[in-house]
Amino acid sequence: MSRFHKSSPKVTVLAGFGLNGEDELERAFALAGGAPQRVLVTDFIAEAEAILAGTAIFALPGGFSFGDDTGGGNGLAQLLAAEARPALVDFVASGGLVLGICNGCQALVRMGLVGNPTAADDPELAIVENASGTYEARFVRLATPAQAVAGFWFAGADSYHLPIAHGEGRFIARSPQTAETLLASGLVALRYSDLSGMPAGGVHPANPNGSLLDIAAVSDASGQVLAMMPHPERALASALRPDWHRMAELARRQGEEPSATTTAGFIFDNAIRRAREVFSV
Amino acid sequence: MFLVDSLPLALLLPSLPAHQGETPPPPAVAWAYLIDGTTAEHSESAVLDVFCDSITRHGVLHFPASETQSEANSSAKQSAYAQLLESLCPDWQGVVEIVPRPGVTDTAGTVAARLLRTTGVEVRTAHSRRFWLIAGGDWQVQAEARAARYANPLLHQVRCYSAAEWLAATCSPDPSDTPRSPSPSAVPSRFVVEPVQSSPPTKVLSVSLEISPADLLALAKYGIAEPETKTRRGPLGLSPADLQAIAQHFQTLQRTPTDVELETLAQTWSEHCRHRIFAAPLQGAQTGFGTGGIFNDFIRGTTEEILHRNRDGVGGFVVSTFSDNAGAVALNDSWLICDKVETHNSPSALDPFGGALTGILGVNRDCLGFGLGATPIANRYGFFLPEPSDPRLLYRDSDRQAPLPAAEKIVEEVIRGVGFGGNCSGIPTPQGFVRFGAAYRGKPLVFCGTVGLLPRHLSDGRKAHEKSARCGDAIVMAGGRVGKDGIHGATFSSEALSAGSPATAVQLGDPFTQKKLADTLLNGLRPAGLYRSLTDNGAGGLSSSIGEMAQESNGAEVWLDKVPLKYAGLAPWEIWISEAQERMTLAVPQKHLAEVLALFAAHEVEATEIGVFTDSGQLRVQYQGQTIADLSLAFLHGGVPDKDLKLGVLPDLVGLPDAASGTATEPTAKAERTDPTVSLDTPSLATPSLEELTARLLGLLSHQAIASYRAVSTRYDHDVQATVFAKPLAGVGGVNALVTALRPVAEAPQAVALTQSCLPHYGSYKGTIDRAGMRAMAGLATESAVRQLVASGCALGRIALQDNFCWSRGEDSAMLTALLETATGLRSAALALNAPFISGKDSMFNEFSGFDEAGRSVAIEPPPTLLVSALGVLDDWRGFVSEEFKFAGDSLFLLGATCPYLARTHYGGLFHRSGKTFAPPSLDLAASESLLRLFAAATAAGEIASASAVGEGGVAVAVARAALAGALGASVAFDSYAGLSAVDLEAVLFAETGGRILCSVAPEKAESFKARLAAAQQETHPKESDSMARPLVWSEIGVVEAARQLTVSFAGGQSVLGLEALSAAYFGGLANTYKRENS
Repeated sequence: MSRFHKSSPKVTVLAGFGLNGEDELERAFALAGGAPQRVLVTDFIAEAEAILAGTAIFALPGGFSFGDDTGGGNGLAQLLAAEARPALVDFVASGGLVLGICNGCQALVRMGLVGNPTAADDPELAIVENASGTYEARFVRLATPAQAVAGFWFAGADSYHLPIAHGEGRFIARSPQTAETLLASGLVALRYSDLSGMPAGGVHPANPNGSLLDIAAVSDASGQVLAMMPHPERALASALRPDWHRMAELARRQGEEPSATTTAGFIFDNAIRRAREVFSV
Repeated sequence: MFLVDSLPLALLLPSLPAHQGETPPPPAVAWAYLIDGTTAEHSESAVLDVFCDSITRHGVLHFPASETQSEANSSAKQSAYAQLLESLCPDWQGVVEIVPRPGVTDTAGTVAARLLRTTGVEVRTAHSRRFWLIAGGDWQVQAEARAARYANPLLHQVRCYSAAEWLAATCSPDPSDTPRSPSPSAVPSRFVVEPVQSSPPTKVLSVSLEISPADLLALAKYGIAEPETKTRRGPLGLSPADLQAIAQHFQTLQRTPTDVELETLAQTWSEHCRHRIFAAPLQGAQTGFGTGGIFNDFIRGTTEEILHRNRDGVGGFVVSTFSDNAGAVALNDSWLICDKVETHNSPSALDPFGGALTGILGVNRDCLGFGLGATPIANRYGFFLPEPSDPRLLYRDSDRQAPLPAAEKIVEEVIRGVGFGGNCSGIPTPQGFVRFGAAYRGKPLVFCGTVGLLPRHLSDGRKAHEKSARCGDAIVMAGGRVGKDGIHGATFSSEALSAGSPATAVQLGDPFTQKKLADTLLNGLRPAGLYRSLTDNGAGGLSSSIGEMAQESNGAEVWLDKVPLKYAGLAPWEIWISEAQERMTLAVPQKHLAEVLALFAAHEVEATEIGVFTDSGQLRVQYQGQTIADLSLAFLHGGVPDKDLKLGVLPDLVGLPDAASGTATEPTAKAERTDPTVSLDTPSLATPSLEELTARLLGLLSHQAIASYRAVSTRYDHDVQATVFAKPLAGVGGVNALVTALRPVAEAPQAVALTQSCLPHYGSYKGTIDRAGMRAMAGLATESAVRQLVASGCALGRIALQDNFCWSRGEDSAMLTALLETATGLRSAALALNAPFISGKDSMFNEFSGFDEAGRSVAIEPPPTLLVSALGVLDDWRGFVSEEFKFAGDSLFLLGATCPYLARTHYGGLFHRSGKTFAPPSLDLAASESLLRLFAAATAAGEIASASAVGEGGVAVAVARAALAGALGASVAFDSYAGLSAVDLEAVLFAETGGRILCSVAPEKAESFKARLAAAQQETHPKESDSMARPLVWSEIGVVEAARQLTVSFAGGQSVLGLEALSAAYFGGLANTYKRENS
């Protein structure tokens, strides 16, 4: 099975069992030039190796897999870990990219596939209930640390303005040393920030959940596996930003068409570009 | 049997940054999973790994001592357990445990079982429980507080243990354990899971109706008596006339009905399912257009008239009305939009979280069950809740054994329930409102709505909004299993809340199961066209869904013993009417049956063939080879007698509005004195000063009906699906928007705009409901919902409405008159504005009668309430106009006339300023129609930068909201305001007169907009023969400014309010109300 279809890298998007962002995630990859295919969680684990052999990017959308029971992302992580961990590890080793968003991020963290400087099976990070105790859905500011190994996902912009929607998004680490190592080894991919791009310093509302070191996204040591709590797939169109109506009115007055897209699309463009580079050889 | 105590820790790292406003960590919460299964000893750690990561979740396994472990091993485990608890909560003194009652939905247990199977454990059952470890000498007080907050006595048992008791109960077998336990000597008492109590023998009863009138009444009110115990099964809710009709029917059949037949009739004929009050011809009704009842004449009749008249092409816009689970309109040539709003008041009164959750999940299923299935694309909500600080403790019974939840718990749990349902289902929830009042302490009003998207045609060419089961199709039930949950929900919500209300009416929803069900339907079955019909299992359960669908093929035969059960011990009648959630019923052609069942299985959704549709004209139910119900569909659906209802008398505090225009007649001295029991506030002689008036704006901005409920909006995901472009919080200032909008199909330019209006405070003055008030409440709710959509860019003829009535004492004659007046107001406004009602619902018994702390009887009822939900379609989403001011220098216009009635406004209520009349805010429908047509043309021409309908709180609040939303100031002056003869600043600022729009216009567009207004002003002749066009009233009242302040000028004076003060009032007004969310 080829990982390409007319130079469109195949993107396998998980669905079912309470996941719910697959429509917009597929749309985002398709807009970037990918060829998304939707796979039910149980179908995926039944033949993970074969499916991944024909995949350039494996994407886990947001949602509430298993209703968040036993912990956000835990159920999905258990199923994937029990049936598909070796296939996923081989897939990454062969150059494949993995993107987990929100619930998908929680699952990747729970599996220890990201944010794990020691590269052991046991996770070094965990995601717990927001410090506020409440679910929050709103836009936040984010910045990529200069040393992030997953920096290629964000090339083209230093900062991002994306929506979050979660009740469990607070990263904590096994030990204080883990946290320092994460930053030093470049595994922190995105941090909640203020308007100037400086880390939020743990302060609400810039840091929406009390996340350690303002962490909003982490990667593995290769940068190919990215787990992020914010939702870039929900912010591709300018019109979906909270300041859209004023921007559109300004453009109208200047006789221009308002810009239709945002920097959120860079994440998918960059992923597709990387997939083409890796798999066209 | 073993136990996992999996213990999430909130804080492990001392190096966590100090968090602003961080409260001390709450008592440590832990989950216990009681697992009945077998595993090899070596896979113990694999079992723990399912739950624990050793960072934040730690756990231990307990095995009953005698079964698998040596004494030494066991005591090592116990000490490990004690150490773990100590590390989790140092110095813990006690534990409070919340144990779900037998049969209560336990999604965590179900998921735990599913995950354990991946590790090779053979799991028979798994149950979850939550417990809290509590430190401190006052641990018992804290434990009670936890229990009060998290447990509902209808759903949970609460158990408190001291630390020593807990360790003993958890770690050592209890010799005194009752014999209920499967292996009493080996299992500590805490591990015992109580079974669900079995129903009496599954024999079918034959119930004689040849009994005394007193026995008949008891049968109706308390239900069928069990022959042995004489206990009653719960309300049938049938009237003596109904039972007489049933008795006659069975006399002609020469047999007595079975209990299953009686229950079926009770469900089908219930007020909840049949809306018999709305269907009843009202005696003494002088409606002038027939006597077919409120629904036929005022709601469906009005819609038919509007569609027949077909102005603005509305006949082509509206696709389905009042015939399915929802109404539907056209989005474009390829897609339809359906919309439905429901109430879930009674269940929310008993269990606020479960009631609200099943409310939103239930209306989601209305959407899934519309036509051949619609995709939910937006949820709506509307809450009327008690004030959280309301200290009253209320009980359903005089013995005070059945308490209502505390007020603050109702507030918190209703808000959480609807959010959890929507968030877990991946449906954005952009549109809603929250109100508070003492009248909602007995029953809150919980409105839940869902907008759906479906193609006009399926790939096989069938119209997607039509469906029909055929003879021979399999009846397939899909979703959850059936338990005792929700038995008698339909009949119970058709009565007032009291001691007799059945606790089994409470259900807990499971959004995870429902999401899997929806995925299978929408991604698997619908695209492949594998079923001919479907509907939701809601009120009345299978009896209702199959009873309804059987009409399509003209018959059905059900094999009740095929229905999968959650546990053994259900009687056939219970299986038949259970409202266990997350189920749909489908009609599947036999050739597709295997494929349908396989698709459900792939999503791990249970689906079962439970019967067949026939053309016998009968609804036949079989159980263990015996026919237990055999009802003719003609009688089931056509045999229900009309209710015998009489209209009564409502006071006339003021003259009734003019029938043609809806304008209230000028108040007269005579009208004011009609009811001597009501007196006006003494009008203060001195008109408040300009400073006083502007300062009062701050009071109004913090009013419960006006202040921000941002804390709710941000808890409800509105970005999922990436469609909502007009969000619940408008502008950079984040003011709660009146209108939200989404683009349902990414490739199509059309948008759907949503709004709501609900104005029960217009219905009465100082607690006295009057006729003019009822008309105004309905007329203004309808008109303002339409006006809100037109302000945001919609056009008349592309707007569809829904009505939701919440009444009390629904059969009381005066309340029926109130209903009739409300329907009259609603009809006039819908006709005038060319806006048809496409669906709706009524909830007629929202009164609470119970007891206070001292055992005295208490009656609480919400005011008569009509919620109007509106949906508009914009041909191009870019034509949407949002509320926030956009740029300094833009001109401000106030369109429409102001009438100086303050008596029932929020301002009048807050500052005791009634003016000279009792009259509700006035509404001139003809003027409104003219204005809305003009305004739609102006938005289409791109002239409008921002706009909002002026409503609650009046012009002052509208200006303040738009300023806050845009983070811009404004300067307004009213000396030359044309909208009120003899300008009365108090009225201009705060009256809530209908038919007004506030808008801002860019300087370069101002001339063309003014020219448009001037031209309309000249038009004195109606444009169309049936139009009642009025000259337009408008004023340019000021300008948007960069300075962050609001300046009001009048009669040479000037008053200035900083935006910070406005912001503090608006965002701080309800801060205390929502503060508990963060605890």
